[in-house]
Formats: sequence, C-alpha cells, structure tokens
Amino acid sequence: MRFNSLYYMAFLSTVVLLYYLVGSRYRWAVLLLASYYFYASWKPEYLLLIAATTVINYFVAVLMASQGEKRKRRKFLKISLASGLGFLFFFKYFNFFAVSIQELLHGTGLLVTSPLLNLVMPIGLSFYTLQTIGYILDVYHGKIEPERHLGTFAVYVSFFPIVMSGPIERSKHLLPQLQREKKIAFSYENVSRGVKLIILGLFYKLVVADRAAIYVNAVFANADKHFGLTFIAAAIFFSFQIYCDFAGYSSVAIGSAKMLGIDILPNFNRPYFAGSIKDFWRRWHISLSTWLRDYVFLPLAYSFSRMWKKEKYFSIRTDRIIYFCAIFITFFLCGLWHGANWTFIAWGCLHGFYLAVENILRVRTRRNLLKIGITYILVLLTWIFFRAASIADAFAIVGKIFTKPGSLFIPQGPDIVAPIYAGGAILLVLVMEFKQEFFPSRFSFFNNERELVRVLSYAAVIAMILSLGVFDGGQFIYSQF
Amino acid sequence: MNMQVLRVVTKSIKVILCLFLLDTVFGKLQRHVFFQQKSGKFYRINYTMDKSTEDVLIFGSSHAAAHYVPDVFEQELGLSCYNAGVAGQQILFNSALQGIALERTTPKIMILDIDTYGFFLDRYQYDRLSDLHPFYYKHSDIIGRVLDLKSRLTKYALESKLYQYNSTIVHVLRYWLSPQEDRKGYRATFVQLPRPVRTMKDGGEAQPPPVQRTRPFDKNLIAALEQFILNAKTRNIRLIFAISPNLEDTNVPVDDALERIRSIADRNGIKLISFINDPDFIRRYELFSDAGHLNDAGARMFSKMVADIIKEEFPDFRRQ
Repeated sequence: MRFNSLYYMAFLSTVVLLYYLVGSRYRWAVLLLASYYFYASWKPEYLLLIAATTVINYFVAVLMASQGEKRKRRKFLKISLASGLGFLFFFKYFNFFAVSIQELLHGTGLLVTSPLLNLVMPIGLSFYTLQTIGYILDVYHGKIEPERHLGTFAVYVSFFPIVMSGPIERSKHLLPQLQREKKIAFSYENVSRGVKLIILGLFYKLVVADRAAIYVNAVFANADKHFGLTFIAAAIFFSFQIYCDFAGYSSVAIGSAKMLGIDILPNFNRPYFAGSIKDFWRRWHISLSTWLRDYVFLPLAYSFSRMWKKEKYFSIRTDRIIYFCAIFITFFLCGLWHGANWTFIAWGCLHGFYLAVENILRVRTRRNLLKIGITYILVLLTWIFFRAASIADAFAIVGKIFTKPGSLFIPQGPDIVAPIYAGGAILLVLVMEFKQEFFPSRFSFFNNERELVRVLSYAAVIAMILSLGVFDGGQFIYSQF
Repeated sequence: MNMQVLRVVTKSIKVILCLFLLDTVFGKLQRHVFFQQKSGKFYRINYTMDKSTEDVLIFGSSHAAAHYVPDVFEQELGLSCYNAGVAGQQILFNSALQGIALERTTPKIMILDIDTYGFFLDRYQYDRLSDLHPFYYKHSDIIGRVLDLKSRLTKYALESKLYQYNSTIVHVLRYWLSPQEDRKGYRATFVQLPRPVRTMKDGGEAQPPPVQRTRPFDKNLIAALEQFILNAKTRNIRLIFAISPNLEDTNVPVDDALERIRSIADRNGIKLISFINDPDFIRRYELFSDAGHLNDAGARMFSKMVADIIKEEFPDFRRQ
C-alpha cells in the first residue's frame, strides 16, 4: 500500500475514525492492528521479522533494566545489537559483501565463488532497526525506562506512518505519546495540520519527484549515450527528485501521525538553502543525521578521546584527528546504510570529506548566496555517485561533465513534455521554499487570515496534484536517447 | 469533541466544494482544449475512436505507427487505410481502441502488429492505459472495463475531470504551437541508422546465444487478444497478425510467446505474417532509423510486402 494511493487514503481515514472511537486504553491495539495490516500489505511473511525484532528487544530491554551492573547490561545490549544488525546484514548486505570479497580475491588471483541469497529485502528494515537500536541504547545508558507494555512497544517498532521510510523516531519522543495513559482528544488543529502536511507531501512526491524521475531515469539508463551537459541537467533534476520524494514521503508520514494526535520528528528543512555542508546535514534527513550524531559520531569521538591522550599526533592537533576519524567512519556507515553498493559508500565518504575540509577551513555558519550556491554544487556532485549504477559509471559521468560537455538531451516529439513539467515543478518548489526560508510570515496561503484563501489553497493544491501528478508508470520518455 | 468534529466536517465540505468548482471549471476548459487538437498522439487516438471510416485499420505499438504506410496499402489494395498504431501501447490498449472504433465503423481489413514480448506480465502495459483517460467520459463502458483490470478504484478517480486530462496540457500546447506531421496516422522517419564498425573477423555474423524467455504470460493480455479476434470475427472483418522485421538476429523463434500467438492465430484461422529474422531486413542498416524501427524507405518496402501477402490471402481485395 503506497502513500500515494487511494487505498492508503481509505485506510488512513478508517484508522483515524477507529482510533478516536475507542477509548485511549485500547488505542495501542488499533494502531498495532493497523500497522501490521499496513506492513503485511507489502509482504506478509516479513511480519514475522518485525514481530521477532519487537519481542527480542522488548525482553532485552526489560531484562537489561533489571540488571544493576553495567557488565551484565552489556551482555543484553550485545544480544540486541547482534539480532538487529544480523537481520540487517543478512537481508541487505550479505550479497554485497559476498560479491565484494569474491572480486577482491579474484584480483589477487584466487577464484572463489560464494553463494548468493535470492532474497527481497524487507521494506523498512533499515529504519526500524535503527529506531530499535536507539531505544536499546537509551535503556542501556539509563536515559529512559524500558517500555513495559508489549503492545505499546510493538507499535513503537511498527508504527505505520514511519515504518517504511522514517522519520527515524526517538524512544524518548515517541513512546510517551503511545502509552495508554496518554489521552489524546480529537482536535480540529491536529486533523487540519495533518491533512495539510499530507497534501503538501503528495504534491512534492507526485508533481515534482515522480515527474523529475522520468527524465533522470531516461538519462541514467543510457549513461553511455549521453554527455556532460545532459548529466548536469539530470543531476539537478535528480537532486530535486530525491529531495521531493523523501521530503514528500516524510511529510505524508508526519501528517498521518498528526491526524492521530502524535507528533513525529521533522525530517527536512529546505536543505538546498544550506550555506555549508554542516548546515546541509542540519536540514537533510534530520532524523538520521541526529541519530548518527548521537549513537555513532559522539560515542566514537568520546572513545577516541580516551584512547589518544597526547595533544598532537604527526603535528596535527588531536581534537582535529578525532573529528576527522569519527566523521569519516560515521559517513562511511551513513553511505552503507543507504544501500549495499559502493556508490552509496562513495557518496557518504564524499560528505565526510567535505565536512573534514570545512573543519580545516573553519567555514562559518553565516550564509550568503555564494555559499548557498557552492554548497548546492558540492551536494550535486555527490548525487551523481548516489544515482549512478556503479562507481565506474559515476567516475565516467563526472569525467564527461568536465571533458565532454556535448549537447543537452532534449527528448523529441511528445516526450518533450517530461522535462518541461519537471522543470516547471522544480521552479515552483524553489519559489515556495525561497518564500518560506526568507519571508516565512509573508504571502501565506495555508495559514492566511482569510478562510476563503486557506480553503482555496487546499483545493488548488489538490487540483494541481490531480492535473499534474504522476500516478503510475504511464508517463515515460519513449525515446530514451 | 463535537464542536471539533463539526469544524472538521464544515471545513472539509468547504474544501470539497471549492475543489469541485475548480475541477469543473478547469476540467471542462481542459477538455475543450484537448479535443481541439489537430495533430499528435491524442488526436490520432481520437480520430481512430470517433472519426475513422477507412477500409483498412492498422493497430499496434510504435512498430505499427512507424512501419505501415497507408499510401502503399491504398495503392496496392485499392482500399482506404488509416494507421492507428500508438507508441508504447500493446494489446490491452489496442483491444479497447478497436472495440470503441467498431461501435461506429466496420472496416474490411484489420492488421494487428504484434510485439511478441507484449504478452508477458508487465506492469507498464497497465500503467500506460492512462492514455485512455481523456476519452473515458465518452466511452466509459469499454474503457472502464479495461481500466478495471488495472485497479477498480481508477474509475472513481476518473470522476475528476482534471484527473481525466492529467499531464495532457503541455502535450496539447506543444502540438498547437508546432503540429506533428503524420500521414494518415503513419509517422515517417527519414534517418538512416549508421552501420556499426565491426571488429570480429567473420564480420560479426555470429548468431547470438539462444535466449529462453521465462517470464509468465499474463492471462489478461491473452484474453485481450482473444477479444480483439472476436470483435473482428463477429463483424466479418478480415484480420491479419503481423510481426515487424528486426535489425539484428534474435532468437525469438524459440520464444514461447511466438508459439502461443501462432496457436491462437491457427485456432481462429488468422494469417500470421512473421518477419522475424527476415533476410530482406537483417542488418540492412539503411532501412532502419534506430535499432527497433524502420525508416521511411524500410517502412515502404515492408508495407508493400505485407500488402502483397494480403492480396494473396484475400484475392477479392486485389486492386483491379
């Protein structure tokens, strides 16, 4: 069940209705049933996996909290991490590592063939694994008490708006909202705000992201046939495709939860108006970047600082070495988390490299147009690695951009409409976000004082989605090159 | 709580009313502009559905649109001809298009150009049915039945006029500013595919390794083909199946799909003309505009060959 389907709208309406009809004591049951039904609509077999993750971590957390000694608590922590990361490795990374090792050995002259698994990765596994690890680490460090109600904890792991693609929630933020004692009354504000976020999310996803994808797919599917200018255009389109796709999805997720009176962490904050890479990561996939900061970067930096006691190593200040190492490992893992391919790792490492350089150059946080432009170009370069089919393809594309500009690929005949729609939609998003970034209180439509303007704004955006949205694979570029 | 619910209901009604208003005004405007088109894909679909009266109608995908020259058929058979091929469309779409056209006209001959891969399970064939959305309000019976195969909810979404004309406005403007040329539906291309430089000593004549397709058939697509045949048979229309020529050798003959199509054609007494690996076309780069499509010279040669076979098959249509 996709967020952009009529089925989801019918499903959400039913859940909202049932949620407010039953008493707050049983709302967890409504949410759990809804979440499991939603998850099973993709592949029912994988419900077992999410249920197993829930049961293991529930008992690990409860048992861990009952242990006074840190050594004993660590034993339970290891069980939880081994199960969570084990599932993730098995379903997401086994084939990647098997092939990589095989190729490495092949390079040294050893011909080894390792078996490959023919598995479909469970949807949302990367997201709910991080969310669960965050919970277990919080219990381990004594930041929160373990959730004693299995049903509430099961909802925390599988909550349908966020189970597929986040935002990655924090236990301290989400769990108290799901507890039976929490009485959430039906409110106009929650429903209205939720609907607004859903409509905006659908606009981002259907009108911008899916439209830009048509051109991007046509170019990257035939990377050997295109040249520099085309790749620049495709990279720009892709930067908006991936942003609007993910931000749109997050917006629908946050809006859906809001209709149930549940607040979800924000995930995007106009990232292409960032004045530095550091600023970019404060605005891009915020729930992941803060998760990585709290559970990977800071613990790593802390552990390095305990290991490296001297003031300087190789004439470089230790605090700087610690920052470089911790940031590089964090972004290596960030890349790997995004997908089992060297292209994602390269994307992550590039971001780590940028942040290290910014640290050396002491880039200040004050923004100007030049800084925004440079940041966007640097990010654009990383998207080429993210989107390319292989590292070799990515380097070939970057090479063509600098050496073979060629001519811009403009689809012929009826296919010309794809980039025109995409370009128009991207321009509209830029104008909207520029207004929100620099004039947040002016020209407001959704929050206008006049009701007529507000109502017309809702209706106009829905009308635009109906008129210009991409609802299936029916829109395509026939002549790919 | 009751006040809160009332506020939500009131606001929802206001938004729905505004949406209805916008949908009606802009939807009707779009519909009006849409049916003013004088060229382009949607104009040709509309012509086939509502205006075609020709003796010979040709259906199929881009292969049909680019390979069958109505002038050649008219000259050879002495019958009027229209090429109703639509790029990217296969049997589901063509079955609906034929059904709608036959509600109004009865041609003497129909040619269905078949892509053998067009009968395997493929989500895109369903997604591309959106080309039928703008015509739903006129032919809701036939189009509704086909769209039900994709999703039962599509018909409800099509209650919105804006959704019916989704993504068509730029298309309409594009061909209003610069009309697309076609010759009775035929889309001629005059580009010649450059001959590739071959490095193999034998001149690259090697046969490619056999490829056995393993994708399962889609029973809806087979049923659509059967419906296409039934529609023609009940109106005594002579039906021909043709498979267009290819540039490079393929192993399509070992493909299950060809055998399946052949058995359906045989069972219904339909002539199947296959130009797969035809020596007159194989590696004749000068006859192709790209790896999959003939150029105008190739299309004229191919059309003449098909017309000759039709004359043999149906001697009563031989030009006097």
